[in-house]
Amino acid sequence: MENEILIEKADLISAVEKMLAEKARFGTASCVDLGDKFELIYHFEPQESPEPLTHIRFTIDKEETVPSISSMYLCAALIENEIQEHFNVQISGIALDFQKRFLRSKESPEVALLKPTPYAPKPPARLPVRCGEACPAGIDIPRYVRLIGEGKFAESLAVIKQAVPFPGILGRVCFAPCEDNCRQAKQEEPIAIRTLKRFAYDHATYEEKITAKQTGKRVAVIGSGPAGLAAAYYLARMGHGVTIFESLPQAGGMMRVGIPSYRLPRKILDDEINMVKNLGVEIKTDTRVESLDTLLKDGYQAVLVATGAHQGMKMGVEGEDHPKVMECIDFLRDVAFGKKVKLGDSVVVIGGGNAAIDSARTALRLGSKEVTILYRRTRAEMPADAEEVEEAIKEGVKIEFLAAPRKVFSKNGAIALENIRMKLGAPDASRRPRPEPIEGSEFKVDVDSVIAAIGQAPEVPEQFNIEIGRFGNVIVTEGDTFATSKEGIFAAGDAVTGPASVVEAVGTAKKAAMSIDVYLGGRGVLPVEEIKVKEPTSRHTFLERWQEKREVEVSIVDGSVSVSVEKKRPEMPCLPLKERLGGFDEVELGLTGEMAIAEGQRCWRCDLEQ
Amino acid sequence: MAVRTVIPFGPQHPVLPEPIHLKLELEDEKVVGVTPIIGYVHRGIEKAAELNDFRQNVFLCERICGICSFIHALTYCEGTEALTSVEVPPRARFLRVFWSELSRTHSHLLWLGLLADSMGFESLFMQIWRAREMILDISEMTAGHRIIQGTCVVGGVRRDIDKEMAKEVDKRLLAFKEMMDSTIASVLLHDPTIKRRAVGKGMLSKEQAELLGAVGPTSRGSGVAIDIRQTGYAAYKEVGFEPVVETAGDSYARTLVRAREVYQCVELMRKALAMMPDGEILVRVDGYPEGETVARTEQPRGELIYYFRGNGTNNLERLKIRTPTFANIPTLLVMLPGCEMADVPVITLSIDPCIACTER
Repeated sequence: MENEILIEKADLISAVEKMLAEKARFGTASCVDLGDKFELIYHFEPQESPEPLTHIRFTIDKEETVPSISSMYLCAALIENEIQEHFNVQISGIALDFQKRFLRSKESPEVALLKPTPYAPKPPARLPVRCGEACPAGIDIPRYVRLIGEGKFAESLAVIKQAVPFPGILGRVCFAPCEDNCRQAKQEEPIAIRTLKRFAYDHATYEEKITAKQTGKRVAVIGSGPAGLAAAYYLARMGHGVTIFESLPQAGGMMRVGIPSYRLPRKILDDEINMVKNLGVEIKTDTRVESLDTLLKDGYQAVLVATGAHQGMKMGVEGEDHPKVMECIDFLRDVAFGKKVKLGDSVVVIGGGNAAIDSARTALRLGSKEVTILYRRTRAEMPADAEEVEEAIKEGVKIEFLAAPRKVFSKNGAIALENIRMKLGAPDASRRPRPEPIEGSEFKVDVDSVIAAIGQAPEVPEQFNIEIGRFGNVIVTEGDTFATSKEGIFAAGDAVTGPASVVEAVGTAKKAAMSIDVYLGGRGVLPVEEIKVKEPTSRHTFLERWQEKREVEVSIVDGSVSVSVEKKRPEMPCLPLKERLGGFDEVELGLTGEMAIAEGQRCWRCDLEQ
Repeated sequence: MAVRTVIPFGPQHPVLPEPIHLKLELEDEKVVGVTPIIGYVHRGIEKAAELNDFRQNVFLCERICGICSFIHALTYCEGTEALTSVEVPPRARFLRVFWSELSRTHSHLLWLGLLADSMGFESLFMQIWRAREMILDISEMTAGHRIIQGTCVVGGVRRDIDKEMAKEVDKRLLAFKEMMDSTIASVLLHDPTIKRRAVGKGMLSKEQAELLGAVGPTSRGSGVAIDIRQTGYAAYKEVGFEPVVETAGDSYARTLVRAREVYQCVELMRKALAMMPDGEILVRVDGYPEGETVARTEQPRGELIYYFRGNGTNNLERLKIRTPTFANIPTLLVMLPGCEMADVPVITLSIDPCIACTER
């Protein structure tokens, strides 16, 4: 060709620099495959336009790398990129950022002009699921159930721990709104979500990693119940210093004084409380807080009131002030702290909630021969956990439905109870049928003691000086911030919601902790650890769902197990009846590994898109 | 705090007839970064050209682009004729100029219509494309096809334009010019809507145009007077040529360059037909292409470079094509940052992107 400049590869840069000095325009570059070599030709147009092009050419070996001229002629980057793509000639230092003269950003990679972005399948989307949405504490339920089904117990526990502090406690006493919302419940039985949580806690360990920087802010938490402990846990994870004040001699709140140890062994409770302590949370027991202002003056920037609902409600019947008529809260607390409680042989428990069942079963364990629960509606309306009721009946508790006390008679130290039969009427505000007394159906029973378990209410000290609602004696808080009427004071747990459950207390504590973090200048985001683990990405097929029984091979840490997945829940192994009543040993013994894996495999994985 | 988002513009977008993907980085409504990504319509034409008979390649090259097809064929013929040492008859050279300019006219009209469409100016879009029909009718009358004419072959052209037809063409060109004057030019020059959407948008300075190697109307709109027709290929030397240059460097300047070129094209066509000498239009090509050469022409979108390498056989050893849009895409990296999201279609269109050309 005319105007050729034959050079060596090493002279390329100097030759192009000469072109640049002569103000030549870059036309393009051509690459020719010569079989064993490549020839590269750079075409330049001299400044005087009508003149023919100048060509700089040289040959290279196939493996050789050519320096890019894009630092001098940045428009050459495109063709260099194309040559690289089409001929696999290595060209080093292609810079599309145009000598940093133009805007460059993270999203604009250096060389992206010729290649369409590589196809990457999008990660399967997670759908909102009913079980997960029902959980007040926001645990990623489908994921941990799935991980247990895959035999990955530690990862499963880690998933739970990202959302809640006490899998061991919740796995035993949570009343599992998730299970009520399980889609599988409509066709088969709901997944034993709570039991699987307990399994994960019992069979795996999780090491807490605090990633948040210490903020130097201090928060006081009043009450060491589920809400107080959980809030302390979340606040500590977000880097705040937390002190818990507890008026009782031991921490745990209602979890210690309200839940008997046959349901929640004290060791588990202590372990969980120690876990919170290990995060740097200080717990001051036997300390009753008298004034919130003093706390604020003592250098706490925020205070969380989580005093719970420890005030038993009155039955409102004649003669209930008799010393043999006790509140279930007082009764359970005394038992929990090891006080001697004399009940006598026949005990009547009034109420249909979990506290009533707990009291009745505790009474049996204290040696009472005849324990009767008096409930004014029928079993279908009982707010207590169906399983608990079942266990109570198994242990020998009698339940008298459609009956309510009318009067308590005192008779030479012993007492007699006059009851009346009820019938169900129209639904009331709680959407349950309203019990109506049947006049003239009164009957009398002689009893040794009566335990009233008809409900509790929060009892907030007046000197706290915060606004209390008109109904239920609960603290008034503002929406999701859980801020009370007083600056810097927040509230959570039963004190806000009225008597509820452990998981609801944890749920409110979580929101309150985030809100406190925002109040203290944080972002209100809980640091979470990303749990990377290989897990199934698709739902079960319809075929798999319909199978009565299918065998699944799951690899676990030590080898693999083969489990058969059936369409029903595993039956929880329990302590034999005769061993139960002798003491307060835990009744439910927990699932075996194979049962848990099979149950995890049974989950339909509604959260997965495909 | 501005919200940062990345919005994909294309590969399928109402204003883009062809697939180019622009990854737009936005801060609220403002574009702060752009990554053009091509590669959606690569067809391997350069490789296919190595497998064909070198005479057949004319028709392959003509199909690289659906708009400036004739000029691709012309460039290929110019190169192979140089390699086979064939002297093209003068009448054929003038006819080539005529058809080149006809291509350019309808390409520019197509683009002006698309610009109006991208602004939502439907009536102007329809009007411009109606005018374009007149040009396409001339194409059909003279070449037998509206766009892919197939008139250019190695050694000359396949069709002649006789005196009577030349007269008719001249008449039609004047009618076209009349229509441009009466309905389109005044709108392009004076309509405030067009000015609002184009004036000051998509700025490309002269230095940036040179640095980024911009070609064609994109560079001429920024005051860079580069037009390969100045080199006098085909019969441009005889016909005489001066490039159209605007200096503002915005979308409106590029629009004006193209609008003025439409008028220039009409003049060039009429001149070529008038100056066309009598004689042969095609010579026999006996040899085979041997050696190397580079052929350059001015496409509607800018400079087109073909690199040829023959080895004395029926097949070319290498054919390399550098199309103008390939050189113009980098200018988007300077034009788009800083503009509003709503201006992206008009600015992107202002370089007249022809992606099928670019990817070959």
